[in-house]
Amino acid sequence: MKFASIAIVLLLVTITGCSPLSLKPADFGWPVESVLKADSKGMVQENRYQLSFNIRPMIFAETGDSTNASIIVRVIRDRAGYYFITAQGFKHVYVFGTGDGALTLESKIMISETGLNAPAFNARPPHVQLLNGSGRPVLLSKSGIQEGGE
Amino acid sequence: MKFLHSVTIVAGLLAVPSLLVSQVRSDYEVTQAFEREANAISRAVTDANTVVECVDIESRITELDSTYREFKDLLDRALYPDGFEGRLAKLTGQITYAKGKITIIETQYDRITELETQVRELSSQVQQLSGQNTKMLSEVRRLSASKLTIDSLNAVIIKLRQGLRDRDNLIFALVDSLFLQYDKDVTAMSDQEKRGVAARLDRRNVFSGIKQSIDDNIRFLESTTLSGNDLMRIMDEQAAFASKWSGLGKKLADVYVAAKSKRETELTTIDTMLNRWKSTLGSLFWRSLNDIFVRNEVPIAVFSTASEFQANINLYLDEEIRKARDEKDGQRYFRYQAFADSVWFGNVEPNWIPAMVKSGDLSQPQVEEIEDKVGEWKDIVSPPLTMVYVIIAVVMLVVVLYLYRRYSKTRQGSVDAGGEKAGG
Repeated sequence: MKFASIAIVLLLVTITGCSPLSLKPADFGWPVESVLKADSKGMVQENRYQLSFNIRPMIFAETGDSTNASIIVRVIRDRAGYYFITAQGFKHVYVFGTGDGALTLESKIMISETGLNAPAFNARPPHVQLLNGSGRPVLLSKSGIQEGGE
Repeated sequence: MKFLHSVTIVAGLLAVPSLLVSQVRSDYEVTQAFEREANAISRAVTDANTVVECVDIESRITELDSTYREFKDLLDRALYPDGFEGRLAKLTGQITYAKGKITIIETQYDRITELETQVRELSSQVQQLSGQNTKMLSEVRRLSASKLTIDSLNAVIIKLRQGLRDRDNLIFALVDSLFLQYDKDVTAMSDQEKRGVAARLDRRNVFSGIKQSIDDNIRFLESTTLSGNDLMRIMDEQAAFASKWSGLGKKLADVYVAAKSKRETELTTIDTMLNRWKSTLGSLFWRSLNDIFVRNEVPIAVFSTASEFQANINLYLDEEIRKARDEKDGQRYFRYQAFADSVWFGNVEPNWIPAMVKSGDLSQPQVEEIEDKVGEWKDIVSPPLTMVYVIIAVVMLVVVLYLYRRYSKTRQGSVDAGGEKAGG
């Protein structure tokens, strides 16, 4: 019995020692979206949060052609740290997480078959709100459109 | 409120979509708009050289505060590290410093501040009234189409007319307060001052406000039908508006030329719009008056001027008088009644003739000529009154005599019977 107790304590200590250290809670959310113009090579630069990335692969994924990369993209980061990116004319909102020197696609949310005409993001923790001109706003999370909330 | 009874339906305005489609503003737009105005104010502080400019800038800071206070939480997060209050405090500090550099006489400063507060208040009232008037115009069209809610429609029309009048007055009061701050004639202003006035006129939307005033007045006329007296009052208002504009237009031309503003070329637009307002009023006046005769099935030829009106109505009366003399049937009196009771004395004479006389379109002798003819027609078709009275008097006399004789006989009979009883 004594042996068993010691074994359990040792096991717990081992498990605790192996799990990664995490600091909770953490909030990565941006209060307001950033509207960024890409240069001819497709690079965008966000100055307040010191973020830069290339949008060419995303344009290609959206349109099948990334010849013209100088577009304006709208970016916002949610509380969990995922980046939501879209642009005028896009049918989707792209959700990226961070990887090793890259943004890695988490999900691609279909919003409009005809393309967004005036997209804009608002921070509405824990979600992100997507406006599209005078259309009905929708709430997004990394898994897609959230039902029921505006 | 007789004019309200003459409200008619305007064809083609049956389906009126709301003019104001609400669109959600994104947080980014709000933040950007705040930043733009804050930066513009900051630049204006740097350029300020006069007391009026300082007062104007303070007013802009006050407006910035009141307009964006509802977004304080958002702006506190978005405008790192200043936040909403911090950004306003910076602007206030800047203007305080600028005021210190310009030697300011306090009494002058107070007077200008007072006028600027007035401008600010008037500007927000104009905006508020414009919004209300737009909604009421849509309401008038909606109710006109429904045909069922005349009382509600009348109530909206009364409020709308008042709203339009108030807005017209406010916008000119606003411009007056703005020019008064400079305490000098426009011709005596420096070019820099004129540029300042031009910028402030634009910021207060004076130019588009005047255009909207005229537009709304025209739309109001196109949505309703009014009586002559009401139209005459609106004509007076239009004339007053045009007169105020002619005074203001010269000043604005002077200001815009000096400021090299594109607005200068647009000044003639207002003149054109004012002419359109006037001609709409004129055509509405004659159209509405024609409608009265048509509705009551009085066959008077269509007219579009006062002289045509007078000529056509005289022609009609002459013809009716001739017919009345030639024909002796009972219909002739009913024709007179239909004209006199429902149309002439019931509507045209009280509601339309005074307006035409007041405007000088019709002279008093011309009115008397028409009335004489109406009187003549009446005399022909009415039974002569003295004869009626004589007949009534004779009939009554006969009745009284008959009753008296019966009474006397009855009384004589009872006396005779009493005497016989006493004797027996």
